[in-house]
Amino acid sequence: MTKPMKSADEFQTFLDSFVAELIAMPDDQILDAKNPEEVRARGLRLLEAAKKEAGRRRMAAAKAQLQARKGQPAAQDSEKLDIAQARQFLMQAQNDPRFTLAARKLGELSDEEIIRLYRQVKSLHENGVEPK
Amino acid sequence: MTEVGQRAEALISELGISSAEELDVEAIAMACGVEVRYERLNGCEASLVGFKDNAIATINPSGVRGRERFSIAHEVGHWKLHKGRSFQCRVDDADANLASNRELEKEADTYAAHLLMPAPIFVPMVKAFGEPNFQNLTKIADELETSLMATALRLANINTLPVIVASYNRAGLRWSLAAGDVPKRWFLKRELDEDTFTYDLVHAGKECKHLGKQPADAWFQNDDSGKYEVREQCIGSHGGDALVLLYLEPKMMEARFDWNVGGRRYTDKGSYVPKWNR
Repeated sequence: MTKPMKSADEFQTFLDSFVAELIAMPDDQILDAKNPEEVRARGLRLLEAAKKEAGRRRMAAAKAQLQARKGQPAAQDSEKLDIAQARQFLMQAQNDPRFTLAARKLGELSDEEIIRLYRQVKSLHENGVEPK
Repeated sequence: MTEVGQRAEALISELGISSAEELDVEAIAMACGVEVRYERLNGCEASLVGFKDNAIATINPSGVRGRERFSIAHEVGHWKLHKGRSFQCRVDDADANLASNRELEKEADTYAAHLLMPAPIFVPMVKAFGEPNFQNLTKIADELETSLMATALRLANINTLPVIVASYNRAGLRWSLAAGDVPKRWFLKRELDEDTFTYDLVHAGKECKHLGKQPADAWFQNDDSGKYEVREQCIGSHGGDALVLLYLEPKMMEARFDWNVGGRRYTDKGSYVPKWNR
């Protein structure tokens, strides 16, 4: 299942240290006899480039994750399901803000579709940060 | 640009994407915590389930890559805009959603259009063709792996040309989308005029290969429309509908407000009668 991206944390750490470094640096060292506007523009350019690089890394990590997933066999869930319970669970999930559910009206879904949605929610639980 | 569109394009910029080849929508979804799966679905194009920061989007395999990509981008839109909510996602076809009144679906469609056709990539492609016809739009759609319908709608949406995109069938106008700068005074006819190329396409299956000149009164209800010209091209869409591209001549962009169109009513003394008082 999808895991939170490590590179996003790395980027945040980089940003925090970049900003902390700028704040700690004395004015004369920052300016170094240069135009303050020039220094500011250079800082922004550096920040923009760093952001783009972090974004590219995030995309590269996502592509690597996709590639790795393609080689894996689809998980088979052999657990026997009580359809009524699965429907009940999904009904409750609809009113729980931790869940997002965009599908056809639950009452209109076939048993097969209910099973698919339920198993997907379950796999998100099991692989999520906080298993229920 | 709408806030929804801005959010989609901000994501593209944040991910460092700057060319058509880099628009890998499954990787974009994955970078947002959405895993894409393909499974046969009944009665809908896609579904989305999410728990906290991760989600699974299930896409109905359609065999048409543009449609699948739009469905993925649409679900990413729901995830980014409507996380933590539950709602019915019946249809992911931009055409069907335009003809309906489902706000969340329209938002997800707008998000998808900007995600797959971000302005910094899409606008230069359009500019290269001047006033693109359907053949040109097909080339753009092929390059971006989008549907022709979504590409035509985005053409109106970027608001760089005096264009109206519309859908008609035998019963008449289904929906229309005008570029933002097209004056609101122009009212399309509800029924197809026999003089239009689109009438020939819908009623006789006659193809309309190029943009062709037409008197504007074949298309608009306005009394003064006979003074102007439009360029029209149409193409068959699904279910016997026609997708229409109309370019307005520059004079039409400067025409003054029309007091007599769109069922407006006035008293004997010339005062406007508001709709709620008729």
